[in-house]
Amino acid sequence: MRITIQFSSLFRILAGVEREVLDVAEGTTIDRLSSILVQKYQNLSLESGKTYFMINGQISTRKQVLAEGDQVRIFQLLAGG
Amino acid sequence: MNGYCGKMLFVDLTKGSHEVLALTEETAKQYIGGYGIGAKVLFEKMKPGSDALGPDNIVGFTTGPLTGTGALLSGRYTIVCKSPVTGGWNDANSGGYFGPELKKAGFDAVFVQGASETPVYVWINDGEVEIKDAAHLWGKDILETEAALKGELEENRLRAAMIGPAGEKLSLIAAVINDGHRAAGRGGCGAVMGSKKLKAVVVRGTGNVPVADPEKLKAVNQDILDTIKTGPAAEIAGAFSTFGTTIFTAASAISGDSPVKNWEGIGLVDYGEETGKNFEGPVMDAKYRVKKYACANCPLGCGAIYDVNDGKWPVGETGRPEYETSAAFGCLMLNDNIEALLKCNHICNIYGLDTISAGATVTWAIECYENGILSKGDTGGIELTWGNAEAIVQATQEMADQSTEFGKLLALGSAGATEKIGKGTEYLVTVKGIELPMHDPRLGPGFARTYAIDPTPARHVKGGLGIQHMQTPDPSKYNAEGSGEPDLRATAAQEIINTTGLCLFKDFTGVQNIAWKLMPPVTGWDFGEEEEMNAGLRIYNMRHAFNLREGMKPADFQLPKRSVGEPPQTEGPLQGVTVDHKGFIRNFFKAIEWDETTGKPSRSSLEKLGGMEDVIKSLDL
Repeated sequence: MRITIQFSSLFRILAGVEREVLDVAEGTTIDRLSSILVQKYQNLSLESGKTYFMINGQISTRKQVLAEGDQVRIFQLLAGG
Repeated sequence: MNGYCGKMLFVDLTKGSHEVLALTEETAKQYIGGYGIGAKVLFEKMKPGSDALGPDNIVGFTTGPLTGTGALLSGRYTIVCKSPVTGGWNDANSGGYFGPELKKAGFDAVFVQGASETPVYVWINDGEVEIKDAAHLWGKDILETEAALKGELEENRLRAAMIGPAGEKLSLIAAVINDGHRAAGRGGCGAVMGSKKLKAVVVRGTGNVPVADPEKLKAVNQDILDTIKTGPAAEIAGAFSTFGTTIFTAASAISGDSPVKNWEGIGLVDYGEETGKNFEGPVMDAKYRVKKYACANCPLGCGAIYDVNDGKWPVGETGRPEYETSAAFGCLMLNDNIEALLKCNHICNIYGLDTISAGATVTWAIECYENGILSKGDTGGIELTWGNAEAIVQATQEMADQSTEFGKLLALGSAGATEKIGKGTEYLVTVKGIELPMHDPRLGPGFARTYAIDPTPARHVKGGLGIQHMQTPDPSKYNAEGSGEPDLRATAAQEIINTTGLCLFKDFTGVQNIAWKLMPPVTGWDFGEEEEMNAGLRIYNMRHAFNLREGMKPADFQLPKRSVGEPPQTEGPLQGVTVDHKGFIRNFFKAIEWDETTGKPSRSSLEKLGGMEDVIKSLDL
């Protein structure tokens, strides 16, 4: 199953890539995707309490199961300025 | 007293006199510094009911005990006064170098009361104080003023907290600017200086602030540096150090953290991730950055200096816009033009306007124009539509220089403008007249309580659960149950951070409990948990008492419905979200022991805190 990952803001800098298409197994959850990405990108720390995964424009939970064609945005939010 | 000069300067512009009063250790321990000591002094010395733009208002320039001691990340100073917008307590803080220089010049704080008949500035040079004529500076912008001061005082190393033409003309969204582009922006403190004909407070100091244990301080500083470089948050610290607060503009815009289209839009639908990305450091820096900028004693150095020398609005050297500015002059008004953002930021800096309120006010005007509340006749011909870059720049320029009737209207801020024209209330996003900052309570529900109930309303830099909530995707954050105690603890802790002189961005170092790593070697004090909590709550209650004494009640601080999802959005990441703001507020009132109707603290809670006898008596508790 093919999904698109979009690294936003800080994660784009840390991952060194903006977008990539991944093949993942059916039934893959956000939690599993997170593990895959952390393994692939050494600079990424996708802390569960502080990392947003947005699937097709909606904020998702770690338990959410991905579907074919999903667009997943990953980002962290920081305050100030 | 270590960490302090032990001296506060009081200047009376009506009399043209000044005196130096001692800051006692007892007061310092109870109120720490910054707006803590500021609130204590203003509560004691200002008459209730004073006109915020009259001579009885007192404007204070205050520092914390860490400021000027060499403690890292402690370069902040805080302006305090009665706000001409809310009619209540106001504080606004800024980085740069002014605060540390004031300490080195010999004072923990400067309070200015009275009003001069002609423009003046206060010159503090290593403990010597002079009130000097500023007639020749009146009308000059911030950069011109600073250059003129350096020339006539023959001192290139001076630091100045100044107003520009916006403050001189009493714009209610006027800021105080130091170091060219650092702003104590909020609440109209620039107008308060303008009302006193006070163009600037100028400082130069070569003294040392006493420190309890210099070797230990050096060691703590080194630990902080090591953690920044090699700690668990090193990657984030590095990126933040390079790109500053503009590192998350796009993520904020698409997530619902940044308000879009005056709090009614949806980032991905109305603005787009690409647009947000263009307003981020990596894109803007590639074209404009000429050097890094760091505030005093800051190893992160999250600022940058740009050179904008081409395009439609070349402005030359200028500070990189911060996140709040990029959002207020970006997604909030659907502006996708970087050059317009840079120009508006520069206008605000040199004329002395708060970029949050300025952006929000132009946005309010856009929505009024789009809905027929303001006509082309009202705007002087400006086609003030969503995202119209030329119109946005023109409106911002006129708001800053007040060269037109429309500019004069906008200079009142959105709430003031609404009051003046008697229309447009439905498009206001303010609490007690102050425009909300660029973090949406629908994503960080704790912000709702902070924006509404903090004695300085509508601030993202005040304590509570907002930042914690905004940072987590966990939907349990929307449940207000049990929020009172953690909200109270977070609030008290932030009061300590803010009043020691630390920067909010200490979080990017990855160092835990940084205030109490630095405070013991600087001051020799090591507060326990209870003493820290009490100090934080004492400061919070003192600011609140100032408002109560002005006759304010909790019902006066209403959140705009858009900011809490009433009604909720029907699509996008905030779809269906309505914040239980009443629940968060109710729980906080219970935890802090304030009456929900009158706002009055319980006598026993203040007695427990200690040091609040004047409040108990004044409020008849």
